[in-house]
Amino acid sequence: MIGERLRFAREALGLRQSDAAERLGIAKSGISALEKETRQPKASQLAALAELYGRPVDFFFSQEPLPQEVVLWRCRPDDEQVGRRIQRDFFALCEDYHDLEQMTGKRVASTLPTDTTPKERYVYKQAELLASRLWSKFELGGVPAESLRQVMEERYRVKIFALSLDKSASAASTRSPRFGPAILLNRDSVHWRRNFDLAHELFHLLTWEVFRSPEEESSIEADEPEESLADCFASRLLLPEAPFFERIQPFVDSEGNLRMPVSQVHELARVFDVSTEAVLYRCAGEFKWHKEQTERAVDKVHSSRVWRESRPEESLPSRYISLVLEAYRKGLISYQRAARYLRKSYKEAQDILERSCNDLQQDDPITVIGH
Amino acid sequence: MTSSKTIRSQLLVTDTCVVIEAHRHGVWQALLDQCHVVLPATVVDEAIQVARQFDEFRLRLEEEIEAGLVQSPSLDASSLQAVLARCPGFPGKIDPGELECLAFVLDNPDQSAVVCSSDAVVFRYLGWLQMSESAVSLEEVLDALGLSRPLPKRLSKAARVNWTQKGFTEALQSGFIQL
Repeated sequence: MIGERLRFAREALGLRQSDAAERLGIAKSGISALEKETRQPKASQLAALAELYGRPVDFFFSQEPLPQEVVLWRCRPDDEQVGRRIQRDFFALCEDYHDLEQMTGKRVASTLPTDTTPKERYVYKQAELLASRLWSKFELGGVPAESLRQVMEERYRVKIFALSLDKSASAASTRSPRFGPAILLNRDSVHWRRNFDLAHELFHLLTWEVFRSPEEESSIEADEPEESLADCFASRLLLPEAPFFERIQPFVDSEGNLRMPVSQVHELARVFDVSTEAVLYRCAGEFKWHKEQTERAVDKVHSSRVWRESRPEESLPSRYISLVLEAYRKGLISYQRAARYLRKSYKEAQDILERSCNDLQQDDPITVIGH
Repeated sequence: MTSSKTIRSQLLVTDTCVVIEAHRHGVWQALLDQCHVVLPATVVDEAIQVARQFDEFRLRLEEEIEAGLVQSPSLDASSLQAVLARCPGFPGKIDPGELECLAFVLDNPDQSAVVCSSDAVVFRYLGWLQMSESAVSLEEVLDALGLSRPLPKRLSKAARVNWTQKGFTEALQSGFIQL
């Protein structure tokens, strides 16, 4: 059993036996013997392999069937090894999040809706309709980008992480039977791009059953029509009809043509916290621009870039951090594991863990007497 | 109170955090001089990795093992599995180094071994196993050796007592222990 799981974990990273052996400083035949179970691993060997493969030690003792790990990439990293490593890091974060929820008794199944429209009937109109329905169900208000992430995380329990991805990669998503829906964003993207990526990936999660089949391989990319639908959905969700039209109405002439200054495109992008491209593609869809017209408009706006500061992104969701601190405070995890969950070194974690533990040791209730 | 004689006669199975903190507080050498220190192989690997983050001390575990100052057993992975299997309902997660410490103590009941840890989850687990007497904090060890000093709360006797008791109570409430 351990041997099969060791092989699974190694292959999930695209490592050869010789790669694993080299990194651990043992003979290739040693890895082979462990996987064939002709030799039993020592505890320290198993711990080193678990570290190398990015899995907890108890994964190798589990009697459960091997997990199916499917990640849908918006744009997969060029280097396959890098992609597999990022994918593993993403899954490890999701699994840690799930374990923390279980340990602290805060596990609530995601209630994120799923679309059941048959694939062959999925057209732009359908994606737009889905965006409109969701906008009102999620109560996203006039600037959806401001609250979308919060609503997805806190109300619908979508696990959202941001890692530094390879330059060639953008976002990814998964819908796991074990830990539910999850999204990976590129930490190095500007925040308005991340907002769009988030909405784009949300479409994939909502339509996971529509476009995915159970026998798909572990790392996949959506085809172009599906990606276009996801873009259409994202632009509708982040630039909702009423607030968006209110803003562009003054620039629509008597014949129904849009005549908007470039500076206004930048202003709309700033207000809705999206890219100028997202604004233009939204206009293109609404005013039925031709492809060439849209490209000309994009070029024109590109040639007049204005300075805009991007907000940095935290890697870990605040709820996740809060669960780590709670699990540590309640004696459910060790100091080292808490540091690992926080993706901090032993030394870096000291201040965070000791302060959180000391300050909330008693967790006394706040009592208000009288009025 | 743990006596100096008791501490000196026991095998002190020490986890990674205690190795690091004993070095940081400058008491590691005293522990080696006065106690039988046992560091399972996984703890040695973990401690070497963690120590790379610190400039203020240097770890010499490999030399100390070589010189026979530290005993470093290397257990089969199946012994970790056996530890986990003993309390299937335990709510926490224990690290491999700590598991190997626990496995050593469980595999050697006649050797009077105690786990010296700074982690609530380890003490709690020993409480579940009704083995509170096999747990000791760094503060208790130093007090017994006459080396008392201010230490962080997690290394204190109070923390050890609190968490072993909590583990025991929890195991009782869950029906794992029946009196």
